[in-house]
Order: sequence, then C-alpha cells, then structure tokens
Amino acid sequence: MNKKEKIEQQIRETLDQFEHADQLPPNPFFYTRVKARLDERHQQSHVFFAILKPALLAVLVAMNLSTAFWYVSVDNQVTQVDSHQELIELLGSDLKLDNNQSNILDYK
Amino acid sequence: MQSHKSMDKFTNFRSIVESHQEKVRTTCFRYVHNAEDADDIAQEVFVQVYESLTHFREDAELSTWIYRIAVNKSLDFLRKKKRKKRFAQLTTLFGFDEGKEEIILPASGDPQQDMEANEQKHVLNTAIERLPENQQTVITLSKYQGFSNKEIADIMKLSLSAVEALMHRAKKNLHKRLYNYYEKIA
Repeated sequence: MNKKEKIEQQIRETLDQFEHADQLPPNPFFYTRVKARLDERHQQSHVFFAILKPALLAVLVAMNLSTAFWYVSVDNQVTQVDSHQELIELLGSDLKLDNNQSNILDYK
Repeated sequence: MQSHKSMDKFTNFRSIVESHQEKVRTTCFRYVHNAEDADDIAQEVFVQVYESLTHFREDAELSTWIYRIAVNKSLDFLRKKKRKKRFAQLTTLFGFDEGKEEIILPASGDPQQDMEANEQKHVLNTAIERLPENQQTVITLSKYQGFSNKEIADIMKLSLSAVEALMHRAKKNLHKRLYNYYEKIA
C-alpha cells in the first residue's frame, strides 16, 4: 500500500465515525429546567413592570400637576381690556404691528 | 378561559419539548462539544419556542423552525466563544482545552481500537469545526443528525440546489483537510 492509499484508507476510517456517532444521554430534568427558566423570565418581567408601573404613574401625575399649574398661572396673566380701541392696541403690540398697520384690525 | 388557554399552551409546549429535545440537544452538542453548554443552548432554544408558539400551526413548519433556532444559537455561541478566545489567549498559552468533550461510546473491549476511534472522532470534529459555517452546518445536519437535503434546505432557508452545492463543497473541503492532516503526520 503506497502512502496515498494509506492516507485515503485513514480518511475513510475517520469518515466512518459519522456512523458511530452516539446521541447525548437523555436528560430527565430537561423540561423542568426549561420550565424553571421560563418562570424566572416571567418573574423578572413582573418585577420590571412592578417598578415601571408606579414610576410611569408618578410621571403622569407630575405632568398633570405641572400642566394644571401652568394653566392657572397663565390664566392670571390675562390682561383685561375695557374698550375696543384698547383691545386693538393690545393685539397690535402683541403682533408687533407698527402704527400704520394697526388699523388693519379696525374693521369697523 | 385565559388559564385554560395557557394550560393548553403548556401541555402543547411540554409535548413539543419531549419530542424534539434529544435531537435539539445533540445538534447543539455537535457544534459546541460540551454537554453542559449544549443543554444550556437547547434550553434557550425552547424558551424562544415557547415565546413564539402561537405563530406556528403546522408541525412540519414548527420542527424546521426549532432546528433553525438550534443551529443559529449554537453558531452564535461559537462566535461569542471565538471573540472571548481572542481576548483570552492565556488559556491556550497554558494549554487548557476549554472543556471539550466527546460522547463516550460503549467500549468495544479493545482499548487500542477505542483509542483509535476516539482519536479519529477528534480529528473529524476538528476538521468540521474549521469548515466555513454553512458547510459545517450542512455536514452536521446531514451526517450526524440524518436530515435530508430538503430538510436542511428548509432549516437553512436555502434552495435544494444550493444545499447540494454546499454539501459537495463541504465534503471536498473535509476530505482536503483530512488529507493534509494525515499527510503531515505520516
């Protein structure tokens, strides 16, 4: 048998090991472990939401309170006007119109 | 109603785990060569299966999908391991073999023959490990797990002709690697 034939023979024998490959021995606790892993994940997500829920609620309450506070403070700043002319001037100044343009609001 | 549904899901899930666990565990083992790691990956496979169970109705589709997850998770594990290895060259410096193990076959009664068989298995596994990922997958699924080319095509989401071409290249490469190895030690 020459060298090449000998190598080919060794390769054939090595490839024969595919036929002799055994299965892993059964693990009787496999399902229990998968179930434990699932329960653990479920628990973790519960803990996460148990923390997240009050935090979200607190953010919502804070947003509501700040909106209410802002609304009330803005309401106090509303300027009362007595006459139509005063209203036009006020709007003119708010819109930054000069004197020549302020008459565009005077539609009467 | 809800609890009845979830009970059904669990019963269904249990039967899926029981019917596929051995093949999934062995598939993972063929990649990682460590029983504990293989069990760990296989458990992760079934956790993912449980989380997406409602999307699957046909059993054939489900089993193909399970093996696809098993292959992908095993390859991910190997990639992570390779990355870790690059940063931990010290282990190879001191010659540790990272818990690689072979399944022990029943002894033939001839220690010399057993030793040769174990050596051949080691050489074969090392040669397979050095193949490109997709060639490694077709060889593992076909030769070790006994999947048909059609099943492999479904698992790998490839056409049948692509799997056949891949298989041809894989066998050729495997032969070449084994030849080089035996030529070197001859």
